[in-house]
Amino acid sequence: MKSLSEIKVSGSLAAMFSSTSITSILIGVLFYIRNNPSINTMLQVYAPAGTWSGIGLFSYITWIILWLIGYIALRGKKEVGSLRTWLIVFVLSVIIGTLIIEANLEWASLFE
Amino acid sequence: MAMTFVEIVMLLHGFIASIALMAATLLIGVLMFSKELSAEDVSKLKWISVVTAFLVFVMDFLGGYGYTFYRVRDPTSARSIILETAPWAHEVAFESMEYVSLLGPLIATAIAYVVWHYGADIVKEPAVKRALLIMLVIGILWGLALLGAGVIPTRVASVK
Repeated sequence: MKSLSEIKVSGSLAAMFSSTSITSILIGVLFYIRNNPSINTMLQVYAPAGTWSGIGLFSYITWIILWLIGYIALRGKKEVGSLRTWLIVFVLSVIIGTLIIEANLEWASLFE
Repeated sequence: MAMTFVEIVMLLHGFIASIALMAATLLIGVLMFSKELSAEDVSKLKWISVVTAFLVFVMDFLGGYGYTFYRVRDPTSARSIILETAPWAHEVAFESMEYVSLLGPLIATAIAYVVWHYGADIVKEPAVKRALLIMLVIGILWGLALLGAGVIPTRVASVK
């Protein structure tokens, strides 16, 4: 019976994991910098939806581009790390992206 | 009283969230209790995971549509009422739901891709099964937390 670290990840799967992980963190970073006036304007792609529209649009476009680049660069490779490594990267990136957003919310409003 | 179009959209938004969580739970059930899958079963699971990922995109889009009504700068909008009565329900709960949910399509697509990539190995190979179970459990817990965050502001004032 193989362990998680013995299961090798192919290039195409690594492209998915890497692009998804980077985008998860990017969403958090874009949320963090959204209050900068010039970035705020740039992120208001569709004004009625505010910065949500730009954060969504730019991060998903980045995701697709990164995935395509990763796929083209890694598609022939049979081993690009283990499933354990990529799973840790994926889980951590989801946690980091979520925590960056949560850390920048107005938690003080709970006590108003 | 007849529902408005945006109320129907928001109802669909919540309905799709529930469907996605149920699909993820179904996949966990299959992983936990199946020793082997036929080619037909694998094909069904692949399509269920892909359709679920697509539905999560649709759910996000519908949420964004409702968001444009929610944040209207008008004293009668849901956002204005919530900020007046329970600011934290907007500042913490709603903002969490709206922005963190942008990660939803990423998680759902990653799960669908793993199911598609490994096929029958998701039940045959214990390590792959474990990896997928971890992703599904995280996806479900994350989704339930956001569902909870979404219900709080809706109880104060809903989008109309």
